[in-house]
Amino acid sequence: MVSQPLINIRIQSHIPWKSDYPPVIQVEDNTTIRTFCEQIGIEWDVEALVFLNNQIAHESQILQDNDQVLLMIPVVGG
Amino acid sequence: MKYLRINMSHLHYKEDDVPTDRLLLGGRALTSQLIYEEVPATCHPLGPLNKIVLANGVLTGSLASSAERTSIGAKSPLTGGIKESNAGGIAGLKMGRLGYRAIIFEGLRDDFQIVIIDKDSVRFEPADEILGLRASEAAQKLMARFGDQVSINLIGVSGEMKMNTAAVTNLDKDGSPTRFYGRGGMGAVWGSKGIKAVIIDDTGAERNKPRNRERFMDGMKNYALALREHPGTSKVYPELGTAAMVRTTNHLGALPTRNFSTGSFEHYESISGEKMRETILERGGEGSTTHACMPGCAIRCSNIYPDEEGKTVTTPIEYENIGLLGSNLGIGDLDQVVELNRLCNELCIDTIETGAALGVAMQAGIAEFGDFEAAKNMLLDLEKGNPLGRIIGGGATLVGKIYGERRVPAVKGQAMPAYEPRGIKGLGVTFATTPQGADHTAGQTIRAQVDHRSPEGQVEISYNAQHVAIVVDSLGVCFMASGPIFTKDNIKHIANLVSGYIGQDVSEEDIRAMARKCLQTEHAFNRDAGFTKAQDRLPEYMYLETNEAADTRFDVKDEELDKIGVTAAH
Ligand code: SF4
Repeated sequence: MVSQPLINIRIQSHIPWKSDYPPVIQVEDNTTIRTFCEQIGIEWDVEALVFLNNQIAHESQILQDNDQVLLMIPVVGG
Repeated sequence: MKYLRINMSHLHYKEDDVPTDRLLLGGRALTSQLIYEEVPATCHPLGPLNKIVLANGVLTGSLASSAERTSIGAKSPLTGGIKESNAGGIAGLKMGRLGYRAIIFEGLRDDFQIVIIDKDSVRFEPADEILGLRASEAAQKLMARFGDQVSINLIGVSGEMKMNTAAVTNLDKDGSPTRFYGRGGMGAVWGSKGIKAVIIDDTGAERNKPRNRERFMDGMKNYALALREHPGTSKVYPELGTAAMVRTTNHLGALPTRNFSTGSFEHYESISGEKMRETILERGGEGSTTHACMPGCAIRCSNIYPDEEGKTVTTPIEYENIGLLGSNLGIGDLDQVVELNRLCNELCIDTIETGAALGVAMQAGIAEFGDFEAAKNMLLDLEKGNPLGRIIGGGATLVGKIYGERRVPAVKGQAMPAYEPRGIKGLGVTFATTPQGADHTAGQTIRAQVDHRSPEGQVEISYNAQHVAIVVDSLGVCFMASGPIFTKDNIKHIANLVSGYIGQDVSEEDIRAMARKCLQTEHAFNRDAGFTKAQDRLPEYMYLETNEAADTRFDVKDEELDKIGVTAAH
């Protein structure tokens, strides 16, 4: 089996209880943002508001080398 | 379950049983239905034909977590349309124990009365002793007179002067008069009927019991589990409160800054939820980073903000207040924001409308952005009823008209809450099309994992969110719980909870149908009041000028808005 090449994803989290990540995480090429989030323990559309390169991410977006993922607290205000 | 009708002109009252086919009508759905049926849509909001309804949610009184909210509804002097505004606190619990689903106030009077409701009767006493006082002092005097186990609904000097910014407040579970029915000038309508305070004394009343205990307990178990499992209700709100939003909205370019001219603020970190938490923990004393406004709330999103000596300044400091009284005024000092918030609480004025009114005044050159002292002085003018204070107390739209300022962040005359709608267009759609005037609690879309700056798909997202809002506001459930309720299929557990409490079979679809009907009814009232699609628009400058932080203008098409607005066939 040929393994996929790895790419670097920069990650920043503003969620205090989900902030224990290294600044850069390596994932296989062709990984979607949703899969990436699930790999780092974030339930999609529940546990974080997810930004990709400063834009709100769509679950099917494919990550590119050196992309920046930002995790924000998921709340509705009050 | 009963309705209590109180005629303030004649100081009479009577009770009616709630018809069994109306047991699923509570909170917003009930206030809106009663206002639609009983108030002529073209009446003067401060005249004898308007009525004001204090209504419990369907679950209010049941002691289900975060579900003790009450709504106040009337024709609004601010928007000229139908209005509902709801609050936590303890009024709902007491009202529920006395067996009242709603209290309907009718008539008009020039003097002010205290209305005392207990299990045997309704009494009226002159309110002269507490007129003109700040809310905390008035509440202290009332507690000294009626005991500290009663609930107190109260207006402040703003309501006495019938200002558009006037709110009604009620006590939290620790006796602080800081749980506000803030929006739409409901305090002015109370004032017009001569109601200064309503005391609800449930001494001797029996605890409410669910009609079908087994079903109710089953619903409770699953509802509690949903609250515990959801990160918002289990972690975010208890730790940071709603102020957790500051970083997120700033990042989205949606934190209103200097009269909604842009959506990010250079000092946002110093007014963030994280900074607030750090300050409260550092100062200690009476301060608390988490607090429940009502008995049994498991979420505890509130807080108590202390001064440097650890003495309470006020409670709670919410995201909306930080946005409107902080970044919107160019003020980046948390203590200053809290002081403005405290004054608003004491005067019983809506922090959102007031913050926006001050922002428009600053835009018009009455004061510089960032000038805390000037903002504070304008609030003191409001308290005294000076001309400038009366103008600020008239709300953002009035300030704009008087000072010739076209940049007024309001829809249907009501100021926007702390979300710059060019940065979160779904909320822009809600502000434009809800019958309630610009109001985030009428259809919050920020949590959607979508591109908030794109116009595509926002109408559908907002329309769904508008129904979610009606469901929680009608059941009496706190908006903070809406995330878990509408995650997975938890709504079916809520249907179970409701069925068990009222003793009728209520399905998920019944609850959704109730929300659809409520929205239709509110639009019908507004149509009868003369609203057209011209009122379903954001302010013109938001279509013409770019919010630089979000790098976008508001560009959801009018035809799209009209699919769900006042002229749509729902
Ligand atoms: S979540 Fe907050 S506002 Fe809602 S009921 Fe609890 S303390 Fe009150």
